[in-house]
Amino acid sequence: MIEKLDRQLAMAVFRFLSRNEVLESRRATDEELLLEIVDELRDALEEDIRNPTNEEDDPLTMYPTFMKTLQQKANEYKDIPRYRKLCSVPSFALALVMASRIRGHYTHSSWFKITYLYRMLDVHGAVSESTMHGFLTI
Amino acid sequence: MEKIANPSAPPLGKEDIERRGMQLMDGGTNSVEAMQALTGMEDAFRQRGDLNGWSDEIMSKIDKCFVKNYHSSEGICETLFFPDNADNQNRFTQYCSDVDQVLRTNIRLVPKYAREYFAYYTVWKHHGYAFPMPLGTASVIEALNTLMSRYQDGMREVSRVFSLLLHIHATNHVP
Repeated sequence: MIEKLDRQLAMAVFRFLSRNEVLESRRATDEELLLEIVDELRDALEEDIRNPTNEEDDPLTMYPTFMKTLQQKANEYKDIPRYRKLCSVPSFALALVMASRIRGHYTHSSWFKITYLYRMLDVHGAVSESTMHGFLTI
Repeated sequence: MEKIANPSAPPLGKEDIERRGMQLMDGGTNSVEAMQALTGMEDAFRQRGDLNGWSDEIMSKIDKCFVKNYHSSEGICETLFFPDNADNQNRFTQYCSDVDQVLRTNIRLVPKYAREYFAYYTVWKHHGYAFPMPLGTASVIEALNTLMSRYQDGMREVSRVFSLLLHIHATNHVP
């Protein structure tokens, strides 16, 4: 039945059904939530890859659907600092989602945990090329 | 990994790429000729392939090449990501040889032209890198984080100096 829906809706229904919302004894972990966010962002990114824009210089303008979804996620998780931070640094989130396209290798690695990624973000932050360009042309 | 999975046949063979790469890295009189010879590869390398061509098993084997060459009992090699460093370059040469062996011995499990495009990737100066860059597998990302966290103050210092330079550049060029 799910297969009869369009691809995007089918994925949303599939993920909703996969999510544990009921059993207190088997609650969704932080990592499952991280994977869910990354999966949704990856769907958006893959849509952008299937429909490329003419922008080539800045990866962040190359992927408008990804950026829009990321913004939505940042709003959705604005009360959870770790996820909000992850969704507020587009270059970092883009790199993470790009890496998740080879799923098992990265998502099963020791650093693919929200606490670890949060610490990474805390240390490194990010300065995108467009920000640098903006700074130079102030 | 997407670029190394490029499904289009490269304009040069692996041996040619390696020979031209060596000429370019040596920086001798043949480097201009080598640069011209690699132009076709540069165009081909822009195309991306399917990431599904990389299985977990192969990624894990490539990752182990990194661990083998850059990790010791004392932890991650300090010269990783270090420019003009003989130890780093020697480790990278051995790493490339090991990765090529993984690609060669698993020829049916890797993208068709992976060896050629990987050989081109290893000509790191040609891609504008200041130091050799191992493929970004999981342990490489972890190593990058480890080193950057260990030298946080150094990173901040460089960052501050860089910002200052940018500021000077900007104020000198504003009409």
